[in-house]
Amino acid sequence: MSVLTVKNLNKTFKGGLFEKDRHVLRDVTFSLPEGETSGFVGSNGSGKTTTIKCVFDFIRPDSGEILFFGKPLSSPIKTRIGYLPERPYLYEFLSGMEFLRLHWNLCYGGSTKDFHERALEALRKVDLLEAKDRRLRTYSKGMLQRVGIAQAILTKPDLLILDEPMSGLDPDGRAMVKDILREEQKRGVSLFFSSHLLQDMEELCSHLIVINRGQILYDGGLSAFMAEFQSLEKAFQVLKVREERHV
Amino acid sequence: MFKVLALARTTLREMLREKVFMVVVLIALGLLGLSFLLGALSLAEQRKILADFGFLAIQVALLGISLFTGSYMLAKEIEKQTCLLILSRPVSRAQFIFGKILGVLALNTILVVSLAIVLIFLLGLFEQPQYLLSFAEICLSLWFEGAVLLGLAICFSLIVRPVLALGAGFMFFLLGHWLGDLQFFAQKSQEESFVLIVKVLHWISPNFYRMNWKSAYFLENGIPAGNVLWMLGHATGWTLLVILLTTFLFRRKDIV
Repeated sequence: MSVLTVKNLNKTFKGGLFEKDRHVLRDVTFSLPEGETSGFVGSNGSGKTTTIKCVFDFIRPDSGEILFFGKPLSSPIKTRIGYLPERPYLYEFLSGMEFLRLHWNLCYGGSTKDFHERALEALRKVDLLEAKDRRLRTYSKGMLQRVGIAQAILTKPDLLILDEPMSGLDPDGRAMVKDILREEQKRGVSLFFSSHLLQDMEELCSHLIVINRGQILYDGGLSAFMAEFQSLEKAFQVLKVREERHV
Repeated sequence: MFKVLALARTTLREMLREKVFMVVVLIALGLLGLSFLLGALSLAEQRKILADFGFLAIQVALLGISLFTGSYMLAKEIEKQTCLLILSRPVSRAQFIFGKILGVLALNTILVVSLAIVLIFLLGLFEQPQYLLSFAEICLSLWFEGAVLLGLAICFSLIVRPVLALGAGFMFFLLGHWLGDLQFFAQKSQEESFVLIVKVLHWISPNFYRMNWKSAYFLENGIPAGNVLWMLGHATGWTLLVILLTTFLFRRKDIV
């Protein structure tokens, strides 16, 4: 079963008075297999973030269909998904614990059952237990990224969608995020994360989606992809050249 | 409803930590202090000056909070993309808007109540309870004026840049207060186009002129119940209208 199916997604941003319209997504179609880690790779500006924003309805697509677990996005579906945007800006006046409490309340209303246990577990996973009562404005960039991941895994989601989760982090921070993702993999969570760094994909993914200039170039298993092209870097270049010739 | 309240509580906490809130409170307290000093200069008009300046202080505080937060609140959420995490949860865009607005209205309520208590103390109304009803009605009209302006500013901020939304909100504040004078001039004028413009303005702008009771005259003579009911209906209607319009616009907005 597919945890996320995206079919023929199109999006054009209207240009200004003297600007051309920008067709940023062209018939984007892919699906994420259940329980696998899917990487969404593409150059900067290729349409990764726009696709993810369309998936969550932050950006209204012009056409296309998006199904989570076979159904359109709804409140019950949203409780089964964890999300971390690119460069997460958080409410910095809240402490780590208050931030998690807010997200818990938004998911489960006033029910405080299990909150404390789950919050401490999530904070332990991201190594922020000691900083849980500090205001987020005192957190470093890496800590903010980690507390963002903590809110994403707080509700033990079935699907985790992370937009560039390792961008801007130092090597230690990147290693920590990868460890967290591996732990979630073991739990059987379906993972979907975008990156423009091919090394991350090779290390974590079993399924790969390649996007360039708003078009999907590849959607399939990583091993099949590697068998054809030997290295991701080479494959990415070849696919881009093929697509440009085709255009 | 709990989700809306959770968002409102977070918004209130955020606003209480904003510098603009402290500045507005200081200005309002400064005006109250000034009214006390000016009142002391004139023995005969002491109470009148104190009441007029006191209500003006409450109005300035509400105007500042409503227009500044209304213009920048959603724009900041969209620009910083803090709303993405919230909207990825089982929260609709309408619930998000309601939560934000409710948070600012809660702040306005705290502001009105605390400044009103100071003013009641300065005017010595504890010893003259017969004036407390009209005092409460005047404060309520100021609160509603703030609510309408907050809705307008948020609505404009979804269409234009925050600074323009701030300007547009202030323009509607002035227009709303000038409507009575404009109507007077239109009646005197023979110019048909001027009369027509004033008629149109009556439809597109809330009428703050008719709910402007912030003076010692209304405090001492009371406000007719019909006027209070009109104010409640008019202001509630406008507040709901702009909130609905804001929700409609926000639903259609791409958070790029």
